[in-house]
Amino acid sequence: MSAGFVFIGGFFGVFFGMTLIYLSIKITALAVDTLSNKGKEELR
Amino acid sequence: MIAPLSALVKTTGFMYLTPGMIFMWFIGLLLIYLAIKKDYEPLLLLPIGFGILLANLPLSGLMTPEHGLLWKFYEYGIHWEIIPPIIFLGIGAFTDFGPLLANPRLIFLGAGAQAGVYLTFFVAQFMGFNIMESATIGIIGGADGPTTIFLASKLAPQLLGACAVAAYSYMAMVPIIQPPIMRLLTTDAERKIKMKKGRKVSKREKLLFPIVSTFLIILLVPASAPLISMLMLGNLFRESLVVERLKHAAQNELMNIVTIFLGLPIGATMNAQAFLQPKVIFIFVLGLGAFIVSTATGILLAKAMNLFSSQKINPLLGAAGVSAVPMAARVVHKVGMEADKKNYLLMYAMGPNVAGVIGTVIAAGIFMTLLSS
Amino acid sequence: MATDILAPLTGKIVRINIEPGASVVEDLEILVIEAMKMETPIYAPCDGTIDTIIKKEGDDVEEDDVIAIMA
Repeated sequence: MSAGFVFIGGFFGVFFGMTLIYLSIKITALAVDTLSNKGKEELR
Repeated sequence: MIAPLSALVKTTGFMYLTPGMIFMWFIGLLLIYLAIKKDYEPLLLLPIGFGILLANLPLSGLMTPEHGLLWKFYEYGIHWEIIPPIIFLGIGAFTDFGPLLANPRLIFLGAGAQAGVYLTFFVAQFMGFNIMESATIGIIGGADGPTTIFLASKLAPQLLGACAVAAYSYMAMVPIIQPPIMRLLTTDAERKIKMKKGRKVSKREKLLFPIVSTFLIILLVPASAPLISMLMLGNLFRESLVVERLKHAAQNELMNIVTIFLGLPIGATMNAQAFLQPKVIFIFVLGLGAFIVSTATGILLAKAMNLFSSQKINPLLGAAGVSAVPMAARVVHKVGMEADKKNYLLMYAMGPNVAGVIGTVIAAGIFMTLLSS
Repeated sequence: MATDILAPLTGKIVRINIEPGASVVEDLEILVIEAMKMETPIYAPCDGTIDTIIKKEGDDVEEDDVIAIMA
């Protein structure tokens, strides 16, 4: 495994990983929002 | 008469002392002094310092493979990768991911601050360290003690002691190292930027986050599983609100117990023979460089994000991307208040700060995946 | 015009330096909140008189909780 590959791969890997977490937060937020709105509608 | 007497003397350690050992005593005593007098990470540096003293007393056999007491602590605690994940369980139980969830885009600052890790990796390679050692030295820039120990025990056990001490000393020195860099890279107007309030985060969201992110991160970087799984389990204890006892045990008793078994054997790996080499000096210099670069790239990334976004981020928050929790966030808060005393950045800084922990674990996981195959 | 003094960050109130009826000037240190094992002084948002103090020393506050009201 060449150092250059580890350097580039690792650097982008971290950003890619963080992007996934960012998306997971967004998705969770969206899911929770939708669910809780649905809950309110059912109550009505 | 003389012969039995000299035989008796030979059973004592005095005959086997070397100047290197005595030099190491001073290093051990220095760490103990810093821990007690200066309050530098005393929970770790005190047992490490004592461990160093023990490792440099001849004939004690404490680190003899298979038999020595400290060797057993090292082998079964650190080499078997038990203690760092348990520390992460405690960190998870302590950590409130709320600030991160409230301002998700600040996550990227936690990624930006990992640049120092990779840059230092490259420089260490250039200086003649092998690829495993370079990765271990680079990860010091993440400023995360348990992750540094975890990676070192996997890739370069011979550097574990030096890297652990470097990581913990620089974490303790965050309030000295970071502010000059932060002032250098930001203008007064930038430091005065007030953050827009994050959105409200519901309890359910906080509860779901550890579960969802465990799936994602472990699927992405399977090698980070031991640390991430424990971190998120600890956080689930915290956010579930139903296992207060487990949360407290993870935060307090368990964490305190493993801290003892972590520090002592790390110190014990630092015998004169292994530690007194020119390359140890390079590790400390490179580690400091990694730390400085990480701070700088975090700030620069925040400034870069400001170019593309109308909602300005206070660039100081970038410095919190290094994962020294919560020291880096506190430093950001203080430097922000120096510029404008009604600018309270602490809670915003906790976001990139905990993101930095996750970022460092991912970086370590990537190193392990790419290098151990 | 009444102005609310809000908690700028989540933490615990460790000191309150004002009493109801006290007049304050902007940027006077009126209370201290402890968060992340660090004390953060909180300053008066504007000139005025303290009307009521809702929280007391030792209370935990969330971000944006009303601590006191200025008349």
